[in-house]
Amino acid sequence: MTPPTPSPITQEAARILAEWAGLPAADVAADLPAVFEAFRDRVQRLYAIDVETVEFDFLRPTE
Amino acid sequence: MTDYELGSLTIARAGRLFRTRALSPVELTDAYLARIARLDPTLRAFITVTGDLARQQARRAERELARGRQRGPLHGIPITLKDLYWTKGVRTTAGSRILADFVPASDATATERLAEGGAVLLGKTNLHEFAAGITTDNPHWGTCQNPWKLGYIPGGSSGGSGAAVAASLGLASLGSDTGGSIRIPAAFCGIVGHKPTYGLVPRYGILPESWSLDHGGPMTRTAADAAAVLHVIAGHDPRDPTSSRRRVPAYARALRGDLKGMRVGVPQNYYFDIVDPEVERAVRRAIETLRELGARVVSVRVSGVEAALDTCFVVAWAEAAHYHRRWLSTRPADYGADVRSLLEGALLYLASDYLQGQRVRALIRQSLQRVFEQVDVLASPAAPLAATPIGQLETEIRGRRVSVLDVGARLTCVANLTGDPACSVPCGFTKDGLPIGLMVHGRAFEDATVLRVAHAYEQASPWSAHRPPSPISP
Repeated sequence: MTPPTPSPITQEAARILAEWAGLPAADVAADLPAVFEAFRDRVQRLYAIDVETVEFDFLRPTE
Repeated sequence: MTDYELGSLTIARAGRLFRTRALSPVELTDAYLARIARLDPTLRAFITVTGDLARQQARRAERELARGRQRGPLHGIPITLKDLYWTKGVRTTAGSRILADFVPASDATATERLAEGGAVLLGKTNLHEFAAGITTDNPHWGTCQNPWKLGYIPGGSSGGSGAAVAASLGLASLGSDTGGSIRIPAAFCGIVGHKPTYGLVPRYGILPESWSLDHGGPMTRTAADAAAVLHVIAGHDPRDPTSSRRRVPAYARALRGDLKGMRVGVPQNYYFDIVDPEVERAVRRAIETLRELGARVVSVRVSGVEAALDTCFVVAWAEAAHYHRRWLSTRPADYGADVRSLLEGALLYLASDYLQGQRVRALIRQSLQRVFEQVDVLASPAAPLAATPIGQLETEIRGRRVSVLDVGARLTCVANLTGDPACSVPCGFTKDGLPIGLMVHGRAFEDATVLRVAHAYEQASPWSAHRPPSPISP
């Protein structure tokens, strides 16, 4: 079994990112590096989808 | 009333008993309050029981009915509300510590409409903290149990509502649904849960999770009861800018049609890719029943739907993080660990990430619109699995380790992205006695069609008559 790849986001990096995002830096959750990474993976999967044909429709009517 | 009599009651039946004076709203309310007092210490389906208010509303309904005044199908009917709906003078916690003492100065639109319809409020139900999860394992208000099997989750986030309806602690509840939070607990608890079309039920006074994905809707024993509740709470309210101005049809009347000629689409991709074999068997049998009822079953492909879960996740959590930003910086320790981690992670999403999510969402919506040119409804599992043990974050489906949160919401979230109506109706049980839900997903504003299919299936199958083991005991 391949050992898990160490996260490129260290606890210190996560702390800095959290502070940047407006969170109290002294009190970030221990699993934040893993959470940041999982969130980034999910977004990267979305960026793999071609959306060039989509006109953005924020003001679409609901009727 | 005996437990057996309460267990066999529906809104429609209670209304008939009121009319013939065989049962009174006060008698029924007292029976439910006694049952709540007995069972809820085990189930933890409630955050607040509103006994005094319920008795007062029941007495009023009884007086009005005795004088011949009929407010409609919910007159004198005991119901519950997910503790996300504002209730004037009654605390509305969102299942959180942060809002533990929040007492709204006014009612949500839906709360107001239920009261005008003569419904009796038994209490506010437990939920996953801030509706941000599907287990209802709530660190602040207690872990809600599945009435079918203690030690198992009821689903969520409207888990208390699902457990309350299933355990006969009220005849209906209102839940909210951002990625499946009405339909997942409905499937796990063996009841009907209907997520209406976006904009049909005003959201004024429903605490938000994600503005572009949130929906409020009914959780009931039967599709006919869901139709009765939907009719009362649907319709335009200018206080909700997303509220539709369309006329509300008579949903109860729409249930009467049969399924002859109805085109039922069965997706060939995605929807059955990661599904527990017992769930798949039950759902395919249910689709066969729809065919026997006269529906034309059509195979369809829903292109691009594979991105639904990621899209829903990014959009929902980005919007939720925005709503929670102030509390995340001032009161982080007041969140439960799971919700806090996810909200903090979502604060790092870029505006570009959110917009990518919204554009992928538009592609999925276009894809579903093309599918609905070929068929009237889609049929699939509501959730790819049955309820899981409390505290278990991962499970195995066909030899594959999957996250309970991800797999639980992967099918329901599609209709949140599109805004279409979708309903979960009971369609069987696993060998462990846990309920399974069939999901019927239809075109926007065709809630009546979705409920008609659910009702026709329910009439042709035995599942809605099943009740959790009673008395509930470990």
